[in-house]
Amino acid sequence: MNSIISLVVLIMLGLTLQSCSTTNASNRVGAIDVINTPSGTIGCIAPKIISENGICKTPDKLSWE
Amino acid sequence: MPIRKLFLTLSLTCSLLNATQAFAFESYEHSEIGREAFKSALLKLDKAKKGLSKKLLSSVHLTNGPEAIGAVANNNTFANFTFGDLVAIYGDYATSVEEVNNPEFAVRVNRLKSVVRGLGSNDLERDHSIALAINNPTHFSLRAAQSYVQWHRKALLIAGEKDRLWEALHYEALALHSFTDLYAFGHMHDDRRLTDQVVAWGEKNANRSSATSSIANLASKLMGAYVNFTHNAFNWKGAILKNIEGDAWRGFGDKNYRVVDSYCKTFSKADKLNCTDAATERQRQIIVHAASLSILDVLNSSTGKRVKLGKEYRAMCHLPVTFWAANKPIPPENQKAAIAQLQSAMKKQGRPIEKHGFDFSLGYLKFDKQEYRGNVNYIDYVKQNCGII
Repeated sequence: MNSIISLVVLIMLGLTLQSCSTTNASNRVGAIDVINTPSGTIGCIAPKIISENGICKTPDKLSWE
Repeated sequence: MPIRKLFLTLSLTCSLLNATQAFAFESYEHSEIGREAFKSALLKLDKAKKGLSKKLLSSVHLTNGPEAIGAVANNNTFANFTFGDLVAIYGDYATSVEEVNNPEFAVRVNRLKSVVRGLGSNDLERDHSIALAINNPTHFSLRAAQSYVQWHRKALLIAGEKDRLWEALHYEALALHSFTDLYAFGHMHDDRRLTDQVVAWGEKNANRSSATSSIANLASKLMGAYVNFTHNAFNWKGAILKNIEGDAWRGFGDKNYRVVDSYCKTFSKADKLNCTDAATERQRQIIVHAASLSILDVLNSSTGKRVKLGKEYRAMCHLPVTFWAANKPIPPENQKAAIAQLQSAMKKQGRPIEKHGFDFSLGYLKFDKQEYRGNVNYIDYVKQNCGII
């Protein structure tokens, strides 16, 4: 019984993550940062931006702050 | 009305509204940047010495108020502009300080204020801007950076002379138009050669009797920044940009200064001007701060406080010089079917592509999936003027 429940939970988790990864920029829900932009390429949910090594990251404080 | 017909009508209306917005506010964006940067510079000035901005704006041909800067002919102020108005006007509607400060310019004042503030359109001014856009190298890459240096230098020099601050601010607005263009991704590396290639390809293939010919005919008609394929692609798509100071942000182009989020796009035209789009917040902060430093140095020069030698162009340290997470558009000759679809869609919307250019926001035109990254080809010029080499 436990293994069936675990399997269902895993499937639901998988479906949730899949739906997040195809979320449009306007739908700011989901547990992950990466989104597909309208142009079909990957972006990050604002205010996070893609770092030089390709990770979604909260940008550092501005240089004059 | 049958439900299906009603749905189709609503869909068409929505798509028309969205498409129009994609091409609006370009002048307003310049105007907003100039207005906010001027306000920020005055605040910085007063922080250093209370009441100083009021004193400076009490000088000849200037006023304390939103429309602080006079247009002057024969030593008479014949009109007043906000600093933002002037940043938007110079470069796109007038090419020199002499042109704006001429009695003949008076007839254009009200209609230009309306246009650059996003309150209306005017066919005469639109034609004027298109004529300037056909040959506007001072809005792109190295030439824009050089243009900034040329006019900011002039502003610094004359600001220190008696009763010439008003004139210095005109030169500063002229300088900042080119300067702020350099924050648009489509202006950072497009020195018009790519557009020329598209036009040349079109001219070469226009007479071929194949599917190529109709697209080539179209390409051969495209000239100027308004219809620049690469310019429009990069401005719409944007990239992550970084300046010499180490600030990184997501930057777009000169039609996406404030609004890129689809949430904001649902706002009315008036509300959209105040939309606090999180995706563009950092872009706005950085551009306004950089422009305000430049203005501040001109204001300080007028008080006799000279800018430190070698730091005259310190605002350039905030210009984007490195980019990543960018994608090039697939060349037009390799997406002919998509261009034909776009052409048809835009025609149905009453916005012919020949007049309104390639609209990437409609989703027909595709980008190369491979990431494009690098430095701008004028990075050394920026470093040199920013005072680090």
